[in-house]
Amino acid sequence: MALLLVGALAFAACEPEETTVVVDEDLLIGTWYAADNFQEYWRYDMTHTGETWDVSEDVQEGEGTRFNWSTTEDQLRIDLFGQMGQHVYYDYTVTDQKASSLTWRDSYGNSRTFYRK
Amino acid sequence: MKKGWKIALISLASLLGLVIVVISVACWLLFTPARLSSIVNKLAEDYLTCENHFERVDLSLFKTYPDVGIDVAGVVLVNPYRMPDSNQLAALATYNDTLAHVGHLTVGIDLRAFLKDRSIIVRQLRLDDVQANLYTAPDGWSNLSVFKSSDTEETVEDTSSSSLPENIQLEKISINHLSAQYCNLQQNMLAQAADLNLQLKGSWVASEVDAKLSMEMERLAVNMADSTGAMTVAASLQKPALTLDARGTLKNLDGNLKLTIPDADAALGKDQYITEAMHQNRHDLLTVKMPFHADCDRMAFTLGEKTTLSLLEYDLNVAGDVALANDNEPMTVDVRYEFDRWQVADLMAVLPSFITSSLKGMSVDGKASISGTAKGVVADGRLPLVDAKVTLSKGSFAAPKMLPMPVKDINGVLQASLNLNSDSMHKGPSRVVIDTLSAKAKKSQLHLSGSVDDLMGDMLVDVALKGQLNLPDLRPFLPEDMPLEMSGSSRADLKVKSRLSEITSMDLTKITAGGTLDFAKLDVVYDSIHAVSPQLRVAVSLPAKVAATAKSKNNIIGARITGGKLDVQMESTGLDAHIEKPDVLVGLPNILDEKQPLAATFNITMNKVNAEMDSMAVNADNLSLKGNIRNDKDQSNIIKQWHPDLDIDLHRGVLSMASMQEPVRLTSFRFNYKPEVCDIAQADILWGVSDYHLNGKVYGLEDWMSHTDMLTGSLNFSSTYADIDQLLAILSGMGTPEDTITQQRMEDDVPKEANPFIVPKDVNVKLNTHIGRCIAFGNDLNDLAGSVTVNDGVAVLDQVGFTCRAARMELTGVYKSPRVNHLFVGLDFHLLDIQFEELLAMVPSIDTLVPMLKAFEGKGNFHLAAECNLNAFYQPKMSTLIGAAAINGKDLVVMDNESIATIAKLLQFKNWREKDNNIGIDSISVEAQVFRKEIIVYPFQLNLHNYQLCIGGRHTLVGNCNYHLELLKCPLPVRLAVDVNGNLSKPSIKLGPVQYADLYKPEKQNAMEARTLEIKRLVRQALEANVRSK
Repeated sequence: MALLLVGALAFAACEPEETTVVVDEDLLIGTWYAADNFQEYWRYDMTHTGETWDVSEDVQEGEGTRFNWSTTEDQLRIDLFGQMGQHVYYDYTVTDQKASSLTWRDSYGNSRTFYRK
Repeated sequence: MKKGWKIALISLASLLGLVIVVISVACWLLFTPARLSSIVNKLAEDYLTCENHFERVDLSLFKTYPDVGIDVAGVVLVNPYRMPDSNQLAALATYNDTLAHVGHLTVGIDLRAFLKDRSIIVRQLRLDDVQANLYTAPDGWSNLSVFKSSDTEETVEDTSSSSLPENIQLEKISINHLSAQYCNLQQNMLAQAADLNLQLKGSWVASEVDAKLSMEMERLAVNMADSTGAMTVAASLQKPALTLDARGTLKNLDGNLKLTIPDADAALGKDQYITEAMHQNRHDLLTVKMPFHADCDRMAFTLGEKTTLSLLEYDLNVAGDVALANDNEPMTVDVRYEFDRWQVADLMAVLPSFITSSLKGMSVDGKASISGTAKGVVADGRLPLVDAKVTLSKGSFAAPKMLPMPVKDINGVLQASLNLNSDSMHKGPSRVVIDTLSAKAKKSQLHLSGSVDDLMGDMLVDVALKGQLNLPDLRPFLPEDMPLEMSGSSRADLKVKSRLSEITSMDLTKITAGGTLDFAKLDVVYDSIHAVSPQLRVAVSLPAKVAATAKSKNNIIGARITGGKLDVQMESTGLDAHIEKPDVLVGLPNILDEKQPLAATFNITMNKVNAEMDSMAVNADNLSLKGNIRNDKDQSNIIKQWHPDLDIDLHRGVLSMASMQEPVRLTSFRFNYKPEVCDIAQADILWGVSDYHLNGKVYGLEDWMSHTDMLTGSLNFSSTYADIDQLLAILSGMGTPEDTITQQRMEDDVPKEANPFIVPKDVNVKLNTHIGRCIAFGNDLNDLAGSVTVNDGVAVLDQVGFTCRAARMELTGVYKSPRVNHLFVGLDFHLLDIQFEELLAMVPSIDTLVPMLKAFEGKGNFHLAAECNLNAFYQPKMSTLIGAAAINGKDLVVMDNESIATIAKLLQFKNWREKDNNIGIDSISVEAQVFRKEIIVYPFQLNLHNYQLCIGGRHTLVGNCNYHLELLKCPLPVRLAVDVNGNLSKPSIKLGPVQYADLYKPEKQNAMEARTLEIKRLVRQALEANVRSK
């Protein structure tokens, strides 16, 4: 039993450490489309506001859902809000950020990648 | 015969002849021509100043029998003069220095008086072959001034007025072959008579006259000129003849005059009075037959009843008294005159052109008779009073340039009383009474009667016009380019009373007029408007009657239109209206006054109206429109241009439209419409099973129609039962041009089967609703109250409270239609005291949002704020779905199922059921959010008997889930947790690691856990803040 416990700890210690990304807000500014749905767009504005829309459902830019965004180290916090006063909050962990791509992971471990438009 | 007698008679005759011969020889011896000529010439020397010559003077016994005659042959008086060269009259005159040349001058002297007492009494005068040339120079000198002045002139008794000198007792005057010229250049007159023969027989003794005059001549010419020398009169009478019989004293003279002028030429100025037609006429040009009675002292004449003045065949009968002016009295007349049945066309044909020139291009005919009187003084500035009765029969008038059709059967009787005096002392009323005047034109007939007063001044016309008008006959009177055609007839009964000046100047403020026009079988097409009525009455009044002017003091014209039926079709709009018993009262201001805007006041009632336009039909049992309109050309749209102020009252109306399955019944609809506001006093509407009651105000309808401003308003809207879906369908797209929607549909590629509700644009109207029961989007709702606002393409249900079977509900809803294929629905929805199973039945999508809710039984509160865009089929665009929900409840029961049993087993639940085997939960408080296809249920606590659970996780709309259930309290010392993963319909339930150990321990919770609780608080706080009835 003790061996198993030690083994488990050792196995855990051998897992590679994930590199923490500090989100570069300047790089975030712009319009991105999802790698898993090329017609889903997210636009981050310099004013920490943004919009997301999906043209596959005949929703055009300007007709999508508005949001506020902020970052803390690797956290990207998105506060989507509607016209009826409702808010929907998402906290994503940015796992990779490049000039042309962005990857985040939600609290359930699901990742999504976006490419700059 | 015995021989003795024969011898005796022959002897007696011989003796008589012998006596005569002896007397003749004696006379011849006593009065030889040489001796007589010498005497006459010597006498002429004593009396005459001019050169004179009496060729031979002889005695005559037979020529003047029974009087002895002195026959003077070759009488010549010479008195030369000089005529001016440049005088036009002088140019016409014939110069002759012989004043007079008489072939023979014979004077008959009473032989017995001469033999008895040597008195010389002239009984006969005879002139033969006379040529006279009388001249008066411009300075007044006359060649007649040939007599020496007499010293006894002063003692000469003036007997001219009553009798001739006693030694002149003429019984016969005879003038044969007289030619004379009278040229008076002082008075600019020239008269020339040719071959005049005159016979005068009778006596004139001691004022007793018994004379018979007969005169004829070959020609009489008269010329006159004005002071400039221009000819004013040029007359030439051919063979005029005159006969005159007179008997009685000069104070009491009866006579008979006949004048005949067979032919003549006469001109006044440039106007020629005698036409060629007159020359060619077989009748004498002028004939005068005048029996008369005269008082020569007073110069008063009585014209006999048979006095006739005839111009050609046109006779004018005159009778009465004429007194010429004297020193004391002016001329007076009191005569009757009459002419009978003159054929006007024939008369016009012979009249000179300057008289008929005004009738050029016209054809006038008829038979005219005139009779009347003329009474009064004729003096400077004074004229007699004239009465005339004019009768016209079978008249006709045609003037194509003036009247588009000939007028015939003109019959009339007019009576005129004329006072032609203009001076203030003698002027008086003049009037014409039209007893009757009728005429026909094509199939129309008019009849006029009345009077015209004050003829010499501003005439006062008071006439009544009655007629039967065939409406097509009126069409030619209207402008050719007017798009009007009409048929039917009209019976006119009109009256006008006004001054002529008011009529000519069309001063409607002064004219009094009124009457009726009764139309029958009326059929009028004006442009695209077609009106038909079997019977219609139009009553017109000027000034307007009170009823039509109630709203405006400026109204001066009133009209009332009544009828049994009126059908109106308007092709341009597709309108087809049928009106029963229309009653239209219209008041108009002075429509001819350009300073006043065109306006009208009206009161219109209709017993029954059926109107169809395109796919819309309106029926009403009773409709009334009351109000006024005022034109303002400067305004932009047609409603503003007419500035209406209308009270409209409609009862029992039905509105049908092709787009509506059921007609709309307007039980009562009363509203006032002004340009700035439409004030709906009452609108009671039944539509299908729904009833609607509306009142309130709407502003800016005109600007909205002209697309320049919003339509705003606030209305109270109530109903005992309302089909909201039906209502929304009819309101869809209101105010948005049809072509705009069509274009949007094309751009969005919207199938024709999709017909979403398009929120009216440019409209900002608030409805304060109170609906007892309604059906909306398939839901049956009760006691719905709140406001519904439609604002420029956005419809907002603002905190509408209502109850349904399950709960009290409050709803704030927003619906927008920016594009046909991109609709927006937003809800702020609160269900209070709701049975969860009812909630799920009512809002099935809640099961998608919080799937575990179907496991609960009991009451709770549900709050939802969500929005989503929809396509044209109302299908949600899930990429736009964003919402937040909160649910809380107490004393709930969990419905038992397989998953719960599995979870209970894994979590080692013991004795967790109630005694009745139910699973009881004291309270629950859930917050959730949805975005696109993902629903996140934030961790919430749940007390289950001796156990306290925390549940949280997420799932997707396609059914995948990641939930975590963790024991926070339990009788056991271990803390177990279960993960529910996989498809919601058949999830994988396994023990998993604990996650919420420190969630509710503030001193131990990490940032993520604190953030989670903060989000829960924010979500609930935001949702519950909108609950109205807390």
